[in-house]
Amino acid sequence: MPANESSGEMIQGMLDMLILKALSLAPMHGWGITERIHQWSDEALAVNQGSLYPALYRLKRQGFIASDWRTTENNRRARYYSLTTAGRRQLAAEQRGWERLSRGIELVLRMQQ
Amino acid sequence: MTRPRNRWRHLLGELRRLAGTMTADAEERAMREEMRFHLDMHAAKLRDQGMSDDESRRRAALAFGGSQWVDAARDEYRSRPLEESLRDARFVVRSLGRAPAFTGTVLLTLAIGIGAAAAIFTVVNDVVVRPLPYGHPEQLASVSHDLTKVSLHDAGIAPAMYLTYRRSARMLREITLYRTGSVDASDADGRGDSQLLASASVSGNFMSLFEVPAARGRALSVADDQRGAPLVVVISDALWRTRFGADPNVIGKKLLADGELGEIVGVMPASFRVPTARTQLWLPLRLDTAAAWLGGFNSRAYARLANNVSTAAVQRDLSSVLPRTAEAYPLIAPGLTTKVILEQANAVPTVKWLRDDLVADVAPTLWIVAAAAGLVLLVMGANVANLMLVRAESRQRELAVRAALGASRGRLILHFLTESLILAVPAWGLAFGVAALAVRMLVHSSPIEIPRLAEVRVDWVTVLFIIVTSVLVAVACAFAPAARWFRGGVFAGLRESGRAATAGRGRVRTRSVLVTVQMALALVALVASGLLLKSFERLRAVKPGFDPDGVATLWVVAPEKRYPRQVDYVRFLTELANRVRALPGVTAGGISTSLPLHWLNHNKDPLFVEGTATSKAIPPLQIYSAADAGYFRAMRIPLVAGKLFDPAETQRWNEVVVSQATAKDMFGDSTGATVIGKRFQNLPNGPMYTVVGVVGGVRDTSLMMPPVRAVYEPAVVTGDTIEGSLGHTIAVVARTRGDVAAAERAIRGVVHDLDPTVPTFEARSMAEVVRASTARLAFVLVILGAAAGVTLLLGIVGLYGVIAFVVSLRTRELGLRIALGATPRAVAAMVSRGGLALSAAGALGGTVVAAIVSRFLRAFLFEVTPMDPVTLAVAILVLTASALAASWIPARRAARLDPARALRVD
Repeated sequence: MPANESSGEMIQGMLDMLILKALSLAPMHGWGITERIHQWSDEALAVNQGSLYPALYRLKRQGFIASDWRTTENNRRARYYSLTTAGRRQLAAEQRGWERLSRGIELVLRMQQ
Repeated sequence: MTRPRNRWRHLLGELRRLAGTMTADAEERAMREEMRFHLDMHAAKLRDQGMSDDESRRRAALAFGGSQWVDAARDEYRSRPLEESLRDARFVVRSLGRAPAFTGTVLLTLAIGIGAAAAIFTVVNDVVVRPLPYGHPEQLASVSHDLTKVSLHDAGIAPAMYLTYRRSARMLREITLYRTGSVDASDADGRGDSQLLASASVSGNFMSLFEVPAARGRALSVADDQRGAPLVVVISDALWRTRFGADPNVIGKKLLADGELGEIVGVMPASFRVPTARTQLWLPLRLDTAAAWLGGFNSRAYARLANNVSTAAVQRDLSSVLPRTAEAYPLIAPGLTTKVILEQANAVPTVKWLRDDLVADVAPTLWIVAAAAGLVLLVMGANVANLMLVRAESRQRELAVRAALGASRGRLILHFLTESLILAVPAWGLAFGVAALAVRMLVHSSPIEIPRLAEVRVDWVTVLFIIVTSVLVAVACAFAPAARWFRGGVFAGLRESGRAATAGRGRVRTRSVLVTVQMALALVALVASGLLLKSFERLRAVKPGFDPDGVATLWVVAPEKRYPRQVDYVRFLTELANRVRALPGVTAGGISTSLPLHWLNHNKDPLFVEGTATSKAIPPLQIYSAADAGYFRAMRIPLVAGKLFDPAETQRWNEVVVSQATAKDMFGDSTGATVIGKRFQNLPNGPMYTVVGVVGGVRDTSLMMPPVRAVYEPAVVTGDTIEGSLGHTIAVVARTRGDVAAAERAIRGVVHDLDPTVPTFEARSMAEVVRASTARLAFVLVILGAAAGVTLLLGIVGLYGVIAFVVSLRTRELGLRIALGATPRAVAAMVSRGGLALSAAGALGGTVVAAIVSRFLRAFLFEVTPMDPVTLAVAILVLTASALAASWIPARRAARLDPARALRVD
């Protein structure tokens, strides 16, 4: 998948967390989420559409996000996703978990030096 | 994460998704629109960067990738729990494949544990639980009597009682009388080999009472049972197949049965197994209801009870009509009134459900075997749970990461469950194989006689048992790691992998509990097998009153048609005994109507010491049998006083030898010296016998029971006027210096030379007879011993696992201790103490459980109390020693830790 060549595969749970984070500011359509993550990460992270939409549908099914059809500023119909209360809680939990994990990974990496 | 509201929301989501499947097309359109939007936006962006219209579209489409992820997205959209599980399952199968040792161990453990349990379950179910294959089996019962005053249990029924019940009992729909025995059968023309058949003489209503029609021809009828009716017989399916080669024209053929010509009128189906599974021939009893006396408890009865009555109620009903027997049939035996028997012996009717009656002997054995199988299953389950825990431990980081990345708690539980269920499914097949094999082995070569064993089948009930059991085990095994996991918190795995010195307490706890349970169960199995082992040893130390080694035995039947006169018969036997004694290597030989510890021919009769014989009091019963002097010599039954019998030609018929127990109980002299010359009768106005000798006591009925009172009558040639004390079935015994089996063959040759028409059967060494009498105990001992071995082994392995795990968790702490000056000895002791603590807890729990369950072993125990302190102490010692051995390896490893390296370990 060309868009992904330089940035490495993203772990599913991490992607979920990033999507929730992206939506925590304002409702957004799928394309917007891709762009937002791309910009935030200083273009280090490119979200593959092949993972994005399955993740969106999964998060919606889990009740963490909701969707509705709106019109964009360019007057096009698009499906917008927004964070639910449960999604907000989930984001907080995942962030805590992530911090622990990254601390753990950091420890592991340091030990190997 | 599972707050109610969230769960509610999740449920709503599920419902919506469910509704979504109905509007799948609309959703599909929406999805495509969304994708198109995405594509357009990407193309627009590229265009803004200066790309041409066509080029930007092409690049955007290229970036979007193929259509396969659209399918993935669609799957996600529509995904159902089942599909999720399947995805999980694929993952689990892959990861199990990468751990073949773990997978193999668990599969094998499950297969053996569940398979063995399923085999025993099948046998117990088919033998004890499943209804009998007769019409309305819930109404069928056996009727017998306990003669409580003379301590005679299950004494059967006298024909006079049967007739009374048939006439007067209100709660019996029907009652039928039967006698088992053997019939010497040969072809109608008298040619061909005669054959000894297991027979049942039955009332005419016998087969209709069981509501079983004949498979061919007809069953016996009431008309066949009339006095003077021509003899007709019904044969078993097995006899039809063996003797008659499944001849379809067997009906109407004639058979010489004990010299009387009888017509075969029917063949019973193979499922008809009353009164015994061995019965080959049924003939009408043709009871003479007008006979002068209808006594003798050598008959038995089955009854069909009225609807919805309890056996206790029927017993009360029978008790209330029993006294009428004395009115209708005042004399039950010559010189003995019915009233005396009923009152003095205190005959009490006992009614048992037929199913219980059939399996009464073997049911305790089967339940104990079932308990052993259950025990092994429990311990194996604990072991598998432990293995799953170990596996979860080794993957804790993977699981923690999955949890951290958003896998829900339910999803993780589902994962554990999927894993154990995936292990359980192939275990079904293996377990079924194990069960089928075990049942086959048991049915074909059971060391003990189990009624209804031929009915035992591995069928869908077995399969159902295996599936239900394995699913239960799987769920329980999944629960262990899942519970451990969530008590510790989802991220415990991450935390515990940190550098805390006292990490892992939570992880150890679940496994410690499992190991303690294993140790407790191992102790129970150890105690149970220890008790049986001790009983078995005590039993082997018992002196049976004879010397079984080097003694060959063989039964012969002298057909009445060839030996109608007692004189000819005894001459035949005398000649037989003489020729046996003359065989090379035979040092002593003789004949007897009964053998110790053998089921045949144990007649019981009263004994009235001279001067006490009145029809008013019944004395206790004795075993009466007949033998010659050679029998005592061959069996090495010692002569205590007086003399043995003379040769049959000169021996007087009214001289007898009595056992020491008879001498002591009936004549008050165990030395026997003063008993010689004493006289007695076996009926109040019967003939008078004189005691000429006293022999040592013999454990006739069971090695567990003390020697019983016995009277030995002589074999005499001149006694053709005497009511036959010698039956036509006789045991030949010979003591040989050489090979016992060779001696048996030689005796058979002697019989054949003497009279080729005389059938022989049951050639066994006396040592075998003794062994057979303890076969049931030996069987239970072997089963419980195996259960004890397996549970102890699994317990030790589990204990070793926990201690080794604790050592690995505490490596840093132990290293620190060593660095601070703890001696290796102290460290090893500290680690071992952990193992000892677990085994002590197990021993404590096990002692409590053993105290409760060992009572059920009572029927098998001999000279050992269920709470034998020595056995308990030895069992605890074995358990503790095993625990020490199991802790020793990790303890030694801990003691040899290099502190510098230990402190660096993560």
